[in-house]
Amino acid sequence: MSKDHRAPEQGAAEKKGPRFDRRSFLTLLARGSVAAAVTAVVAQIIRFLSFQPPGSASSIMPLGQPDGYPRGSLSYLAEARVYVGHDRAGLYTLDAVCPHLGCLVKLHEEGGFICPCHDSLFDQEGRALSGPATRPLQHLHLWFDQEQGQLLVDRSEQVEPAVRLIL
Amino acid sequence: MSNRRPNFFYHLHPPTIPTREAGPFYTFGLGGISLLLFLVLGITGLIEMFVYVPTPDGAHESIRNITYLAPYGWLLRNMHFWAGQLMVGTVILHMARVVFSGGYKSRRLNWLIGVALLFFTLVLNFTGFVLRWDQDTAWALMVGTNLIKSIPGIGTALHDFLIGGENVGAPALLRFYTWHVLALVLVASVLITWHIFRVRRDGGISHAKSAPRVGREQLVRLEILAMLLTLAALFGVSLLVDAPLGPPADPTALITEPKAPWFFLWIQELLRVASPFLAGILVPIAILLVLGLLPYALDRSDEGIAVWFNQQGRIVQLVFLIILAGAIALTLRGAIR
Ligand code: HEM
Ligand code: FES
Repeated sequence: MSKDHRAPEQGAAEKKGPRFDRRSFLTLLARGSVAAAVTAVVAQIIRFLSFQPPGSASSIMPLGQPDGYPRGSLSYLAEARVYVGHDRAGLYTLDAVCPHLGCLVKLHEEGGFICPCHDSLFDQEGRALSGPATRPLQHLHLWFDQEQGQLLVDRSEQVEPAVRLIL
Repeated sequence: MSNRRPNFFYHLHPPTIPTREAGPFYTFGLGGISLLLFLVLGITGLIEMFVYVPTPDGAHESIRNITYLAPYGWLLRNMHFWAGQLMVGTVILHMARVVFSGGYKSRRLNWLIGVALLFFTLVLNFTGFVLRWDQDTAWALMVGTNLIKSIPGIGTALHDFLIGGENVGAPALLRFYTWHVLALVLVASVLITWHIFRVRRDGGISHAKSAPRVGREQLVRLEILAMLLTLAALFGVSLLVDAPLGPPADPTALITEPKAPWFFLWIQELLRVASPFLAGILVPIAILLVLGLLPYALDRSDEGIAVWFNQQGRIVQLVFLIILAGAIALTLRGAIR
């Protein structure tokens, strides 16, 4: 900084070295404020675009009467996107959403489930057998609601694979 | 020609052009054809916007209206669809031309703009595919948005930013619509203008030093011919082959054969064998990075400009060929599955 006090003729020759005079300070200030303002505006635009309107859909879906699911049956409930099964132990619901990237799994001719998107295979219990899916299909909480007089499933509540509803 | 003032179209060209490079078998007009298709997309898309309804309930129905009821709507939609698909092809072929004739040499910035344009061409095509809102769209969006979620750290935030909510619904469609008809088009238009401006700034189409030159009239005549041929071809396929439209998107319906749009089939194939983050995010980013870096990392020489399969660019040509062959092989595998 002490170089700033030199005579102008000398100063001109010194221009090559690192100098920080009033002009470059003001330039830096101007550019800095423009950059800061742009950053601030862009950040707010990103926040605006990330905004999510309030109110989310319920994760609880009706499945109808239990006698719609006789022992030995396994049926797809489109609205709830679940398979409802009834084996010797009782009723259970399997999430049809593939744990790989979210396609809906179909019944496989050789038993179990297959995902049509990238060919992940799952067994009856939803365990991942082959393909890119590494996690099993989720068993979801299923119960009989006395008030509504029908079966309900909560898509956001997972249960152990062995859990069965016995009526 | 001599006494008239050159019109605007002439004016876009330099007064003289290297003879060989002005001929039909150097650039094959591929950049210009890509530009023409982009313009056709802009015009046909603008007309479609007057009828298309960007809501989950209205989208598929409005496309059915365009396709089956509006006078010549089918032709309009087919032309918009086929121009988009052809453009993917011409842009990739254009890129190949640039690689194999050493056209990236001494014009690396323009190469980078070109790589960005490849990205925009694909993303514009994908966002357009989403607007169809049929069953293919529904599952491709499902897979695509879950892929975004697989990015460590910023995945969820980016996902919400893209679809405007936790699940794909009306906000997502509106966002894809806005990107497709305005935001991406705007940026792509600026990039294309800059790209073509750079060609002139870099001294016109690349050519050997002190190559013989001809007046621009010859090139302009060829360009008009290429334009007519392209339009005829576009018109031809649009008359004969209809753009696909499946049943309306229903996120609860089971479907048998979900297929990614053809230009992303190679990603769908990779997703069968590799983790989502690797196959769906890292590999595509890596490919764009490698392509962008080719003239920086693998061939910095300025010899071999405008020489087909020039010695200096052998490695660049090889790497490009490997990427291209890999993508084509995977695409074919996905297509015949
Ligand atoms: C929207 C897509 C594109 C359009 C409309 C476009 C347009 C053009 C045009 C009109 C030219 C001059 C003549 C010609 O070569 O045909 C050109 C040259 C060029 N393009 Fe593109 N292009 C696009 C995409 C790309 C891509 C994907 C790349 C490569 C990554 C690329 C790299 C280049 C380079 C390096 C040149 C100069 C070549 C030379 O001077 O020999 N472009 N582009
Ligand atoms: S989404 Fe099911 S295997 Fe990929």
